[in-house]
This record gives sequence, structure tokens and C-alpha cells, in this order.
Amino acid sequence: MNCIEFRTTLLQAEPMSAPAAGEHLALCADCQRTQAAWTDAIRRVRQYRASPSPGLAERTRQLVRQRAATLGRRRNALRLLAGVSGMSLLWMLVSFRLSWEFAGFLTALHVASSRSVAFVGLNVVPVALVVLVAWTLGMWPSAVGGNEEDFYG
Amino acid sequence: MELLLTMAVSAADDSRVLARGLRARDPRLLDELIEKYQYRLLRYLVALAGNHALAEDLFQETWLRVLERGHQFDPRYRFEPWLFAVARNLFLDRVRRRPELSLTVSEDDEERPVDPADVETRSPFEEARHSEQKRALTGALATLAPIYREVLALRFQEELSLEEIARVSNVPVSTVKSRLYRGLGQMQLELGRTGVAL
Repeated sequence: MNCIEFRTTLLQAEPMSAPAAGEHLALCADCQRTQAAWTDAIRRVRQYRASPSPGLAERTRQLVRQRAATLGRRRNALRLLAGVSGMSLLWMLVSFRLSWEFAGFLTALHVASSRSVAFVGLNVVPVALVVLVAWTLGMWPSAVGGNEEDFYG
Repeated sequence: MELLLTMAVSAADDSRVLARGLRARDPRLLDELIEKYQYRLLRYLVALAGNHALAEDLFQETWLRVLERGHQFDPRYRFEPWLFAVARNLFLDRVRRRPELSLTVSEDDEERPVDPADVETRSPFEEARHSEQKRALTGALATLAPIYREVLALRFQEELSLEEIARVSNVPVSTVKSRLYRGLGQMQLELGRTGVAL
């Protein structure tokens, strides 16, 4: 073991956990000095304690609970909107024939310029609006942002 | 050997339970985590930010982020490094908004002294209880650049491995080692300069 390897051992583990480190240390005065200095510096770093101000943990818990409630409400709203979107799509499929007939009726009454336009107005536009609202709400939580996704490389 | 294996299996189970709770945003679990990690997280944030008030702000933001992003925790890894990475990313977000905060080492990195024990909020009596040794440590830490304070805190206070520190700091392990060498070297010099025997 050389000096660099010995010092790396000091950084990685408790000093002297490797037998080879002990052998090197017995022969190297420079590393003996380094070990003494580092061990003491490390001990001093470990002694340091940061004291949270009174009530910090409780305030944080309250904030977290409030945010959890907000996120829960948003999730429920999204589920509701997803359900409504699904039901609307299903209704559109089931009532296709009926809607088409009704679109023809509206065209005959000159309410719509053509049967296709009336059909789209009756079915696609409301469903698209519901899906758009659901999508917008769905995007919002992820806009809170952050890049800890990169943590695992 | 069997004991080690049992401990490893138990740790993996704990991680999986933790990941499930975080995904479900279990409020009781979050309460427990806040209680358990309040001192360690705050200590790391003070070392990183060099400012107690900012560290407490970031502390609260970190737990909100854990709530929102808990589903990203990977149970194959330990929770602590992930928590510190979340806190670090929030600090970096602040740095981008407030350029006077910085993690980089530069010529003019003579930042304001770190006050890890939050002297502002301590009474004169409490202040007097702090020993010469502790003041010297504060002084020595204060002179270090934040990137050195950070690795020293993660390695010797939080007991993270070099690989875990590398993941938290998003740098190679060799850089972590180099920062530890330099941080310890500078601290040693500073403690010597201030007359505290090593």
C-alpha cells in the first residue's frame, strides 16, 4: 500500500480497518501525521450539531399535511374528470346513430350549416373540452418541477 | 455472515415499505420521516447553504418535494442519499435565483462566515456555553468553500459512502475524494492557524 492508497482508505472507512493500512502506517511518518490530523479534524466535524428552531418539525408537518390534502383533492378531481371523459366517449359511441339522426334534424331546421358540423358540435366538442380540462389539471402537478429524476443516473 | 444477510434483507424490506408509503403519500410515514431526519437534514443544509434561516426554508421545501416526488424514490437505494439529493437540488434552484449563493469555488469565494449554530437566535447564556473548540470548528468550517463543507458533512456527519456522495453531488467518485482531501487539508490548516492544537 502506498501513501495515496492509505489516505483513500482513511476517507473510505474507519481508520485502520484494513490490515495493509496498519503495515503502511507503521513505516510512514508522513501518513502518521496525516492520520493524526485528519482523525482529529473528522472528530471535530462529527461533533457539530445543528439545532432546528423550536417548532420547525411541527410547522413542516403541518405544511406537508396541507399540501397532501391539496394534492389529494387534485387527484380526486382528476379521477372524476377521467371518469367523465370516459363516460362521454362511451356515450358518443353508443349514441352515434341517434346523434347522427339528430344532427340531420338540426340541419333541416337550419340550426347547423351541415349535418357533419352539427354532429361534431353535439359530440366531439364537449368531449374534447372535458379531455382538455383533465389534461391541463394533469399537467399542473408536474410543473412544480425539480430534477431529482437525475439522481439515479 | 447470516446476521449481515438478515440485516441486508431487512433493510431492503424497509426500503420497499418506505417506497410504497411515499408513493401513497402516507401522512404518518412523512411525519415519522420528518421526525427522524430533522437534525441530519438541517445539519446538511446548514453545511451546504452556510445560513441557518435559509437552511430552515430549504428544510421545509425539501419535505414538500419529498411528498410530491416520493414516487421517484428507488427502493434499491438508501433513502438518505435520495433525501439529500432532493435538498441539494432545491438549494441549486435557489442559487440560480439568487446568484450571491454559490456552490462553486472561485477567487472571490470569501463568503460570509457560516454560522451553523444559528447565533442570531441564541440567548447570550446559550452563546456562552459554546466552547472555544466549537467556535474554532465553526471558524474552520466557515472558511471552507461550500463544496468542501458539503462533502465533509456527507462523509463524516451523515456517514454516506463515497459512491453515495458522488450520486448526491452528481460528480465522479474521484472528484469526491479530491474534495475530501482538500477540505480536510484546508480545515487542518485553519485549525492550526486559529491555534487549536490538532
